Amino acid sequence: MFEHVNNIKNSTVAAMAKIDSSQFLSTIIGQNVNVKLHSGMLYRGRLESIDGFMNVALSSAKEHYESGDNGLLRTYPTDVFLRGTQVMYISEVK
Amino acid sequence: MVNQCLMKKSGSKGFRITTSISCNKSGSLYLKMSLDAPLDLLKLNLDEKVYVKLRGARELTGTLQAFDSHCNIVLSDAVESIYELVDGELKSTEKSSEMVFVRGDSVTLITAASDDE
Repeated sequence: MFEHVNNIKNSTVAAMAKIDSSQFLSTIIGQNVNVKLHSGMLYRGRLESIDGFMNVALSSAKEHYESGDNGLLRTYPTDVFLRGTQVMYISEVK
Repeated sequence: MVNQCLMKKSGSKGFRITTSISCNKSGSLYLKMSLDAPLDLLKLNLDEKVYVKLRGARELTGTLQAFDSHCNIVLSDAVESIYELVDGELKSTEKSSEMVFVRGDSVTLITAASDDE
């Protein structure tokens, strides 16, 4: 039984080692992503680049409030820079 | 999607540009240039008209004179738009200044200004 608990512990550690958060960020470059800011604004666009401060550059970005299902507020024809400290999360659009 | 990096080189303003050939789902090839760091995007916009979104429903348009890694920025010929709700109605006021320094912590978004701004 204790062996079982240890197995769970080990597999959790292994899973954590597998999913490195900064590694995740570099794997989603070039993908379509949602970037949510603390203000509640949601930006959906192609991730051009990202740095260690979570500063983000998006191309063909669309601006929504809270959710992509809410109405489109505006589209940005040129690349958009989002400041890292304002970012709440970044997720891949499947 | 196939995405092969062809070369990295220094641009005229000292930033690195990655050029790659990509293949879309229909099989046609296209050339794509991207910057390695998000802050390089600001370098591209130096001396250009930019649109800056700030905290507290404020936005600024002006010519980008300088910036740093904190997003402290200097704009010339800047126009600030402030949006407020007054008795449930959206009211906007504008302030212009010849030269303005914006502290980085209030910046949320920076992009090139579109023509209608």
